[in-house]
Amino acid sequence: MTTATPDILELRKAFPALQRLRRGKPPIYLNNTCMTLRPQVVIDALRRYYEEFPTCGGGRSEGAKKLDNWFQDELREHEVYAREAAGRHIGAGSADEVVWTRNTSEALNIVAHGLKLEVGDEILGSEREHNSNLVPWLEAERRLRARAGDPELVVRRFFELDDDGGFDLARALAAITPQTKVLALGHASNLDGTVIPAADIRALSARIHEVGGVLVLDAAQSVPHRKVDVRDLGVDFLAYSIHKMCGPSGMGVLWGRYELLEQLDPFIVGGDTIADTWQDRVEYKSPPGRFEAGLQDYAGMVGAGAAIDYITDTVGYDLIRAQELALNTRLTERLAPLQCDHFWLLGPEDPSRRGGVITMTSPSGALINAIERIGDEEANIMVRRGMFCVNAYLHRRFDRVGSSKNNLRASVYFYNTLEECDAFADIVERVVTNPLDHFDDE
Amino acid sequence: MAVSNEVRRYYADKIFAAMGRERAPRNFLPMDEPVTGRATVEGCLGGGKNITEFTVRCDEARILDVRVSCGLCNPAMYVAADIVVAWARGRSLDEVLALDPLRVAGLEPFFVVLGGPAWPDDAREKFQYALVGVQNALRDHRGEVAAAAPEFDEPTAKDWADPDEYEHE
Repeated sequence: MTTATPDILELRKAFPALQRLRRGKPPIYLNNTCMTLRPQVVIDALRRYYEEFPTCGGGRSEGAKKLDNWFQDELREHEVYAREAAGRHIGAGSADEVVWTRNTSEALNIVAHGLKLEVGDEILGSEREHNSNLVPWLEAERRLRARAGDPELVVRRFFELDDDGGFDLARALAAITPQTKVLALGHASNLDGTVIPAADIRALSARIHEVGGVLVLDAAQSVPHRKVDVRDLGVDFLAYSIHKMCGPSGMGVLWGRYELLEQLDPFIVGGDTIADTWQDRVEYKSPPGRFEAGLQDYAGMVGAGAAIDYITDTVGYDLIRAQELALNTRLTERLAPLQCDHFWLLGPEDPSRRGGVITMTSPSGALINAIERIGDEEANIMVRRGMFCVNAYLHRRFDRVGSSKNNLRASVYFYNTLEECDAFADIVERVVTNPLDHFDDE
Repeated sequence: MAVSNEVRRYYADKIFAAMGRERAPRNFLPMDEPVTGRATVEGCLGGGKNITEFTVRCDEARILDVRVSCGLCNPAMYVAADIVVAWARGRSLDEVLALDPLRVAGLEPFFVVLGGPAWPDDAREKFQYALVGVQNALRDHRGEVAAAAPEFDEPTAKDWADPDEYEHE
């Protein structure tokens, strides 16, 4: 008997990967924070590009509506549609505010490299930023240190979160100073799923704008799971990944307020970023073209359009949110009672504050490894272990007790079921209740 | 292969029992004092997440402290790292660097700590990797290039009655 709703079971049929069997069992895919599976409609869109109009979309003059030939015209139609969809569903004012990138990391690099920061400016984030929203800013700090001739210059600062990882608006507001020119925040945590409430983001937006800074939102873990509106939140730049919302691998989006995109220096330059060149100078295109260097992933763009339509129209954020909450509630109900001196959960205990993510940790990597290994071997369960690109936070919080590296994350999406959560929880329970009995065949 | 009884016992009594939310065995905690050398070694199968890092703090001749850090997944690696690190602490750099990781008989000081007459092969392989890790951290301290870690033979169920028989394949 299954407890999944008919809607979910019907949706699952659209995912070819979920129909596969290994050792007679289907996959249990609980690594959706990293990358989601793809429905047939997205796969078909990718195939359509390669089968019907597999051509180059570049080389056109800025603003040109008509390209040179049959295939290019068809590609252009799909690419424009996808770019509009990528902007429309986050409340963008115009498709020209949407830059195609490979992923959230690239999008944030474009911003961090392109902002014209000066010595004395400061960059602020939380203590738990993903490396994609940390390293680009550390590189910006390095460049400013070099310019200042001061290797100790502190440019990037952070504020602390609550003990349970929850966001503390008062701390964040207090950390903004007149020198803060960038507030770069992860909207939802890939470690423990905690989300910054919309009201808090609006308050931060007001404050950072008062001091003349910009608000950059890493929305990699929010846009795939909830309705996000850039205008309502008051953000200046927002980055998300299409491959975390049923889209093609290696597709991402940078959205920016157009007047700010115009002021950004281009990051990777060359073919198709330019309006014209001479032997000694270059004139760049207007945004978004100046940020999209070289031949692009045109199939990915077509697939991105299909993925966004699928998430917003076929599935819908209401269903996504409801299903994730139901699944994470079940996981929490099963795993929270197992907590002990050798096993515990990260983040707030209330699953409604953790999106679709539940992360467990242990001082014993062997225990964590046993859960992952047995899950894979016995039930085709795919989860993620490690530091999840939040090394800096985990080092800061847990190095002193030696447990920073022993983490295991299960992350659900709308197509997961309660049965899958139970199958995973059964294995966790088995290992945690007898932690020294599962070492064979390591 | 199954984890040997010697490794299982050491891991349960000396390592797992000493771990908790607010505690860990000393050898697995970061140093309070500045590190002077570090090296990594991939001592377990399982890909890039299983890189074990060794850190040392030395003066010119002696190891003042040495620690290990890893998302260790294998009890034998935990055990080997714990034993090799504890053995190396306080010794001279030359003494530690003189041990040949490829010669099983030379690993006797580690097997002795493991206890009992058996020299289980699962510990042998991890001792070898742990020793390379510590030695390369010492080379880093000296500003020397790290030695490439050999791919040591995978562990078997063998118990080394005559370790001089060992011939690296």
